[in-house]
Amino acid sequence: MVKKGVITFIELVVVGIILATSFALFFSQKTTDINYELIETKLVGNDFLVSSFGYNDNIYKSFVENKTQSKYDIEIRDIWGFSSYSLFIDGIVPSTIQVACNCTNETILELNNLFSDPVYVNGRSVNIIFVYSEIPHLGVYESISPGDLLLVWGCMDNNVYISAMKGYILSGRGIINVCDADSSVLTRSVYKEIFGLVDSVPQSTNTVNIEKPNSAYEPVYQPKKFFFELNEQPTFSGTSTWSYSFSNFLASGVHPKPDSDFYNRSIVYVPGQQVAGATINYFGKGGYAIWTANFARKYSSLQDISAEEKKFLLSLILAAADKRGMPDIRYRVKGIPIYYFDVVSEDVFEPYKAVFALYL
Amino acid sequence: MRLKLQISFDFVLTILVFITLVTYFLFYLITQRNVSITGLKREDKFLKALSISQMLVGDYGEPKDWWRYWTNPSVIKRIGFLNESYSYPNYISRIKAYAFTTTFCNSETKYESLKKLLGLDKYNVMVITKFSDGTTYLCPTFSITLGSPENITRKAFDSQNNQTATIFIAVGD
Repeated sequence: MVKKGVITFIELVVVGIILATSFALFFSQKTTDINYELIETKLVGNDFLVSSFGYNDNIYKSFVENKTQSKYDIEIRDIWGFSSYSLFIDGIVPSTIQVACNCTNETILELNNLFSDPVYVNGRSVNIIFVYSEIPHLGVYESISPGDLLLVWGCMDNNVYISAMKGYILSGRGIINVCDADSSVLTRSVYKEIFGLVDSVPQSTNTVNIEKPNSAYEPVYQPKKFFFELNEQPTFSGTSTWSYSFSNFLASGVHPKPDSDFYNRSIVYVPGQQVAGATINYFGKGGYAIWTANFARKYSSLQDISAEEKKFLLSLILAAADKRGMPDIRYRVKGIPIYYFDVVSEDVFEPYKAVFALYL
Repeated sequence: MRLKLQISFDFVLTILVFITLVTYFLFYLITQRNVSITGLKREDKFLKALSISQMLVGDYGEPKDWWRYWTNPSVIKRIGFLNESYSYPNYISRIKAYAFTTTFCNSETKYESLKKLLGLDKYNVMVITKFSDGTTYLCPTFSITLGSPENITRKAFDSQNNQTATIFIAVGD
C-alpha cells in the first residue's frame, strides 16, 4: 500500500537529478577565456609597426618600393626577433608600374622613351615600363596580360570581351583608353559598360579645364591629386594653381559625357558645357576605367607632347595602377594579422594600410 | 507491528540521497568560486603587466626627465621609458632604462618604492629590458619570488643607438 505524502526512493532520485541539472544549468559560472597569447602577439606586432614604419624610414620605404619583405628580412628576423611573419602594404603607388599597352610598336617605343627617367612620388622613385598586350576578344584572347594597368591607345571595336575587362578592373587594376570618341564610337557597348559614356554633344571649343578637386570622396580625385600635387619635374604653373587649361585637347566633332554625375566623373571638361575631355568610372575594389580624348594627336611623336600633357598622362597612369600589396610568396604565413594605417604626403596624399601577419 | 524509533530502509536511503545532493551542491559552489578567483587573479596580474608595459613604451614619465633625479627618487611621480626628445610612441631612451635599474631596482627598499609607484601592493614585478646589441637591464637586480606570474613582451626602438629593444614584464604573487 502506498502511503499518502510519502516520496518513494526512485522519485527522490529523479527529483535530485532534475534539481542538480537545473542548478548547474541556471547557476553555472559564465566565464570567457581570455586569449592572452593573441593579445600579446597583437601588441608586439603593433609595437613593430609603429616603431619601424613611424620612424625607421628604411623599412617602410623598402616595403613600399619593393612590395617585398626580402630586403630587410634579416633585420626583421634577427634584430626584431620575428622568425615567422609576412608583411605587405596596400594603397601605395608601386616602385615599378608595368603598363600592359595595346598600342603600336612605335607608340610603345615612344612611351618608353617619354618615361625613361623615373618619376618621383613622395620621394620614392617610380619606374614606368610599357609592354605590349592584346585587348581581350571572346574566343581569341580571353585574358589581359598581367600588368598594373591596361592602356589602349586608339578606339576599341565592338567585339571586346567586356566580362574579361570587368574582371580585370575588379581585380584592382585600371584601364585607360585614349580615343577620339565620336558618335559612332559611342554606340559600342564597351564605352557604355566600361567607361560609362552614353551621350554625345557637339563641342564648340577645343580648350578644356582641369580643376583641383573639392573632395577626396569622388573617383575623379585620384588622377587630379597626382596632376596638382605631384612635384614631378619639369614643373609648370599648373601645379600651383587651382585650375589649368589645355588647348587642342579635343578633336573636332562630338564628345561624350558620362552617364551620371558629370562633375564627379569628368577629369577635364569644356568650361560652361557638359562636354568631357576625360572621364573616370569606378568599379569598386580600387579599379578605375579612364577614357580620355587623344590629346597627342597634334604631335608627330609622343615625345613631343608638352610637360603638362605628359603630367596629365602620368596622372592617369598613377591613378589607374594596381596599388594592392601582396606578401612575397616565399614568406607568406597565416599568422595573426595586425593592421597599421597611415598617410604619406611629402607631395601627394597617399593613405596606406600595412598588414603584418605574425607568429610568436 | 512496527516498533517506535525503528528506522526504515526507505528513510536511510532518503537521508543518503539528501546528503549526496547537499555535498554535490556545496562542492559545485566551492569549485566554481575557486575557478573564478583563479581566473580573476590571472586577469588582474595580466592587466597590471599590460598597464606597466604600456607605461614604459608609451609614456615619458613625470617629470619627463625623471632619470635626472635618480639620487632623489621621491621627486619621481611616474615612470616611462619614452624618449623626451621625441613625440612618438615606442621610441625609448636607453638612459631611462638604465636609470630605472639604478634608481629602483638594486635594493629591497628601492624595489618597494617602485612597487608603490606602480600601484603593486600585493604583487611582485620583474622587468627585463634587452637591447639588440646585447645590453640588458634587470629589475630587480636581486632574486625575488614570482608566484604564478603573468608575462607580457613589448618591442620598442632606441633611435639614438639605432637598436631595437625587447621589454619583458612579469607580474606574480
